Amino acid sequence: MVELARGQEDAREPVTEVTGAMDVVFKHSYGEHYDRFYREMRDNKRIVGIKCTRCGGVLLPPRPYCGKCYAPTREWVALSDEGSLLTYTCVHLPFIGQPTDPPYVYAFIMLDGADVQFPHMLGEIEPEDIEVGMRVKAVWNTDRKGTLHDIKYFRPV
Amino acid sequence: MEDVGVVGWAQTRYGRALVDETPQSLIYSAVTGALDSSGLSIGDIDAVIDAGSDFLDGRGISSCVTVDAMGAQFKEESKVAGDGLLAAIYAYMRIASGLFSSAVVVAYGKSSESSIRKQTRTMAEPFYLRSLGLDALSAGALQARSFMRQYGIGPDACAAVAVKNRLAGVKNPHAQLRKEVTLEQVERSPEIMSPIRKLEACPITDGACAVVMAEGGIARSISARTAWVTGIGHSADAYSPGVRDLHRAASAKRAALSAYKMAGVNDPLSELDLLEVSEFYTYQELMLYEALGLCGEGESADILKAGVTGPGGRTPVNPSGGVLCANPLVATGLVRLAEASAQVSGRAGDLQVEGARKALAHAGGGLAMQTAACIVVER
Repeated sequence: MVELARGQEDAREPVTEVTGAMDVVFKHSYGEHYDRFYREMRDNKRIVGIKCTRCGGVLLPPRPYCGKCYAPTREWVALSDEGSLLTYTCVHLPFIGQPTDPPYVYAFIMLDGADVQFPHMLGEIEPEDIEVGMRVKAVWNTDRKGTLHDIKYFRPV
Repeated sequence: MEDVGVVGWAQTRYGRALVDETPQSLIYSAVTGALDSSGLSIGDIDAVIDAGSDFLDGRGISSCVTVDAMGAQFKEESKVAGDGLLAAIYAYMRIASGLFSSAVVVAYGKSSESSIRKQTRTMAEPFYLRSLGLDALSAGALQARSFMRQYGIGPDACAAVAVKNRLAGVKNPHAQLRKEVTLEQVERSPEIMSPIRKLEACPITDGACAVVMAEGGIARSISARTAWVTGIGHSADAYSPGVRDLHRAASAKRAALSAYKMAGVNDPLSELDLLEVSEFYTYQELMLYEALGLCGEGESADILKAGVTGPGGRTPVNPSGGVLCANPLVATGLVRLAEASAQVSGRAGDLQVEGARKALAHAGGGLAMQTAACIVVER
């Protein structure tokens, strides 16, 4: 064994970092509730919620239970694709995973008949003209694949 | 310190890929099942401790997403990034402290949604072991050979663990694999990483498990058949398999010693009526016989051969069929607690070990059994 004195190591090229990358592909199961939710959007241009058996609240997205009551849900409910704007933000910052190039507007909308806000985007309106409380309606895509993007965006009514 | 009992438990169905279930639907089914079996309702519960893996879920801080499914809205929820048995130890401590009176413990995993082989590669840090691609199976295989060579244990002894556990699993309604295998089938199954053969490795499993724990007063008021937690222990060995004596499960030994000391167990072989252990590969069960105090050094194959740990033996190990019959990561160790609790409370159905009063549940984690957790439950 040869003992190396301090500074005796080869100092030409420091070893600084290793590139890490994870290429793990996920297949997230939708389960029976998302399955029906997205099929209704794709096939019938319909947004469906589900009712809590205890509080009667109409929940979105549909799920087997109500988180507030911790009770099962049962009855499916067809909702309007119109509603009121609850809050919004205009996205100026670019980041990975954006649905479109900024600027664009994210919105939470209370659909008529629902008790839970629906997340989507606003279109056909300039950000400075948007007002909380305004009525908006879904604009459906013609080529629907069973995702949230089966709706292009919500436009002012 | 308050008495703490396990008063309810439930397991979901298990499968290689439950494509009609989400993590949330599995959690909801396990937790509501465990509450039903306890007689408590979610309103009686003041703490929720969960175990999940953000890596397996493919999302960060996943307990934020699963909080509704766990019944944890506005409860003091906290997450363990490790096996569900650690979550049970955490819940035990909360209740034992007197600050909480009852807890739901839930663990879940859908290993099918990504590649579990790629996932376990991330257990190796990026600077050294990961460059070799070392994963859970290859680290296990290195340990298996080290253990077998140290004590002259033949491949037939390891294969016999698979035969024993798969036979037990036939009677387990929760087991994913419910078909027995012969010694010849195990020994002729393909060598996936020597010396480990295909039938010596646990399956890939989707599923969830939940238990309900409560302080003594509540436990006594709702159930005549509580599994009392009388001992706990957990321990972590050095990270790198290279610095450990690989043929010894040192952390399991320490975790068990802590639990035994607390529970007043001096001779586990005669005082425990059964053990439920986390054997991801056959050789691990043999190593655990020694680490958990069922035999002396190098004697594990002998007690297996003598039937000590088999059905009707003095101290059955894994009467449920163990992890070789279902491995719902990261609920695997919590399942051991559910099974052990069912046994000591006389509610194990077809799996019941007659007269069982005291049992040990064990969980393992990390590369080559780096970490371990143990809980002693008794009637």
